[in-house]
Amino acid sequence: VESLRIERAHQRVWLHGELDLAAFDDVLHTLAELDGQTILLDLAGVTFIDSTGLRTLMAARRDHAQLSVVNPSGVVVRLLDMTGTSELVLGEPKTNGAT
Amino acid sequence: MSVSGGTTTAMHLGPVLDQAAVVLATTVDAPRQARAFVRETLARWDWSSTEPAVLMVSEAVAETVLTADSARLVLTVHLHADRSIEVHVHDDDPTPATASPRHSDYTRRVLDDVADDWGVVRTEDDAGKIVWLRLAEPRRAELR
Repeated sequence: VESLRIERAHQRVWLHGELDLAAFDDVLHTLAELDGQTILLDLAGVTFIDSTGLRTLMAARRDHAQLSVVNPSGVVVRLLDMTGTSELVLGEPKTNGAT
Repeated sequence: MSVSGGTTTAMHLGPVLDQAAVVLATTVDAPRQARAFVRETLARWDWSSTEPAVLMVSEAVAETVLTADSARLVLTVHLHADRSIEVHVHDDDPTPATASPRHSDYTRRVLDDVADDWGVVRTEDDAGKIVWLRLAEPRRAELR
């Protein structure tokens, strides 16, 4: 049973479902295919996230300078608040001149 | 998480009305399987608002998968007479998790926020440990 579905169109990636430990490799693998581009990671469809999902988001931010996390769903916002990581995850990407 | 999270004394504040247990392999699929088991069990007990319980269990099971030197874990959910639950995540590694401090720190923050109380104890035979988590039924807690 797949608990997370990843959808991709141009530079936007949507996550639908449960963002947990099992999703780590799949999400980072999908993002690696877009390496070097501006990426919008859309979390409107995330119905569950725990701190391993948070770790995926932080790894994505670390690996991709031009990645923005957008449209966090209610459960995502609550977890970011709980862990004090809103700015780390949702903050603007650093502009480092790469295009 | 470590033994200093929450109190270190187990467990059970009152009589146990019912309990349910499942054995899971410590793979990346274990948190999802644990969530499904907890949702199903709490639905059978007619528990309101299961998502906080589901989050704390997913968190504890993921931490066990990532840090415990154990091929399997046993997840047990107990229903107390006051309708609170106590969840045990039992593995075969007596060493408390200390590695990966950043991740453990987030796990600790989530458990501190969601669970009413939680902690880690070694099993009596010293062959493993139990992460225990306590939570009152949300709706009843609000009505108190």
